[in-house]
Amino acid sequence: MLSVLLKKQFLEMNQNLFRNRKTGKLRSRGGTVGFLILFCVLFLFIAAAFYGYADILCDALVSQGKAWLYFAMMGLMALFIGIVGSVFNTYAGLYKAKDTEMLLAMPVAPSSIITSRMLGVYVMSLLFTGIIWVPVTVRYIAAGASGTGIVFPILLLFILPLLVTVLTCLLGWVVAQVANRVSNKNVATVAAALAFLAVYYVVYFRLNSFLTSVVQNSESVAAAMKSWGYPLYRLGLAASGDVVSMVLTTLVTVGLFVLVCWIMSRSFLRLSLGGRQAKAAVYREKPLRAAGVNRALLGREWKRFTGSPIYFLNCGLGAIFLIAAAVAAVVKSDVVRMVADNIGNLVPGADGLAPLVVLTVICLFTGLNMITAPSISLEGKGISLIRSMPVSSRQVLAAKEKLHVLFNMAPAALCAVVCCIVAGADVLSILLVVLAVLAFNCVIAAVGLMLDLKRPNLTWTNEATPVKQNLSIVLVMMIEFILSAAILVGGWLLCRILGLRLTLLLIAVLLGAVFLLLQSWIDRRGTALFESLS
Amino acid sequence: MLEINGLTKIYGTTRAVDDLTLHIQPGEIYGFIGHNGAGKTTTLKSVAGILPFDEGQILINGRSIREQPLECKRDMAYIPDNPDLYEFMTGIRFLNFVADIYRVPAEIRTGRIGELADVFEIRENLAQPIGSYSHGMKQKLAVISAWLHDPKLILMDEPFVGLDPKASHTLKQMMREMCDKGGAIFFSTHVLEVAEKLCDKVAIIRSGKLIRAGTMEEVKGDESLEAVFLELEE
Repeated sequence: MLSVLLKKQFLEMNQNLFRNRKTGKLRSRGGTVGFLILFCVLFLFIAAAFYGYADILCDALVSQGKAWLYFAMMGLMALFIGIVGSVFNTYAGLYKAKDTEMLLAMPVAPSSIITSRMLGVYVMSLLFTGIIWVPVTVRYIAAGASGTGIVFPILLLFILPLLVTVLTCLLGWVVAQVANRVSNKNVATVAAALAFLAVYYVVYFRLNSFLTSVVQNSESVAAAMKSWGYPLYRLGLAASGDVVSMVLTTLVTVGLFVLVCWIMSRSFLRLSLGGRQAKAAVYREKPLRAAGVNRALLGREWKRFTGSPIYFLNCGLGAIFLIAAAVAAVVKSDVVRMVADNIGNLVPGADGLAPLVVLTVICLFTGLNMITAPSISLEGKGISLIRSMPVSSRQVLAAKEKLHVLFNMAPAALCAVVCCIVAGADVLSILLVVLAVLAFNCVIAAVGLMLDLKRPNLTWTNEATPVKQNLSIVLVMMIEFILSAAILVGGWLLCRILGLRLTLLLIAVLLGAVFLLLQSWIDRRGTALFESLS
Repeated sequence: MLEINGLTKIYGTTRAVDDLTLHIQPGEIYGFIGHNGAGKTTTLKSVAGILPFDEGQILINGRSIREQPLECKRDMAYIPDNPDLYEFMTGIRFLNFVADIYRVPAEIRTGRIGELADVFEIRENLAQPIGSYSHGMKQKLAVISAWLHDPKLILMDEPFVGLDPKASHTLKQMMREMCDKGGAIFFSTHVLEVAEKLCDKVAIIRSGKLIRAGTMEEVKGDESLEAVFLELEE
């Protein structure tokens, strides 16, 4: 039975690789080859980055006779990346797969279902850990390894993902337990995702200095690892060729995998079908507040945005980056001020252009918020509902743009004001930067809406499709990058002729004009396109 | 109340609705029956102002849905065949949203929502997200939202699908009461027994063309509606 389920599991993965998800048609041979090449290039690109990190540690530690510490540190990194990479997919894949009820209605043991899905997770883990472990092994072999020093790291390439699977499945199990008990799953999901993201960025930005300090303090790190991270110590020894450690690591990992399979198959039914353990909210009548039509439509967009973790996290993170950037500018005000004062030394002819740089950076961050880009597609099959109501298409579309602008306005303006003050800009320049940022924001809102009106996907069954597989979002990101680059380069050139203030004013006016043009298109063609959707 | 004159809707080369003419008077429950793909949903969506149509005219209380869509939509409500409501909202928030859109006065909306929710026994569930509702509960919510602003005309596409027997019975009573007060209802159904018992008039459509329409007696005569329908379909 397990083999049949595994076949289905791999067929599903295969479909994603070789079939166009939108049309359902097999990719052409050229398309498949292109897709595989792109995949390999991406893999190699990331693996090359990790080769760099391995390079920092390898020679230094191997020459000190601490090859095990090299593998222990890089193994820790592989475990971390593997877990971060697959924990949320794991929860969805293990417990929220749409075929659960269908399979349970068939003569299939729940343990077979969960085991087949865990093996699916194993393949994902293999990919994520491999992206680190392969360059780590290559670097070690290049340093002159031989015998078990070559064989064991290669074997661990397949054993380590088993450990990642165990840990991610356990984390997925915890997420499922929490999700079944909290009443507001969306807030919990967003909070957990943001926490993971914060940890990821902290680790990422400190990785270089951390690895360097490991090399500098290898004795104390090794001692700490032996006492506090004994399993990692054994893992490191195993990878560096120690037979006893290899056997021990393999047995413990396989044992843990079997144990986790057993634990999860026992709670599988309750967690995958339950979902009603949280106490359901009971309605208590109280006077309802009335709002105008436009406000009601804006409220609808707000609820959709904040009620969907996938929409919020993919299209609203820029606001968090903007606030973080404002805080960072205050905390590191001396560094910002120093860069601002010496910008002319870094780029010839750029003296006093810090406000232009601030504008560009904020445009880049605010452009990460693409609230309008999937907003038409997200109406989905329910689009008939709003179309049957006594509201004009213009009102519906305006609510989408308004949400984008209002959500971005405060953090963008705050970031602009704070960064400009820290960089020592004068009041007029600050006002002009804020004006330009707001105009840029309006342009991105209109571009996103326009693109999604032209290419809406209303037939999705999973909300992730219009958010994560939407060409409009990719195009908005590209346009945002190009526009930001044009602001920086064009502004730098114009500043030489017009000076900073006039340049900032010109940028704001030009962006405003672009917005008006786009808005005019939306008012005429856009509304007609919206009315043709049903 | 509702005048459909020569309605034609073309998809590519297919005439989904072909020169359809129907008039519905105040006080009438008008049933609309036909096989799958006959053009019922297309007609209802055209009347609701969702689908643009190619030829003909649709008037609601004398106003054209094409020329005065918002005014027409304020006078009516539409319940789709599949209640794709906003799953990101709670039931009460959705009803409040609908009340805002149809400008139901604040002082009466709470009471009216409470009354309708009690009738369909979903008051306690109103605080829960619509995403957690069963199909039947979503259908009940769609019905409540349609009745909320006291429309003059209600369009319904297969309204009884998913409703439990008690809710179906309640809905039939509400339909009758509304029409007795001068409103009108135009709905599609595949349940011919319900149509036969409930409707004042009935229209049968086949491949986009109206093949018979009139009072129930005129259409079925001494036979059952099912027998007439099957005969006409052959």
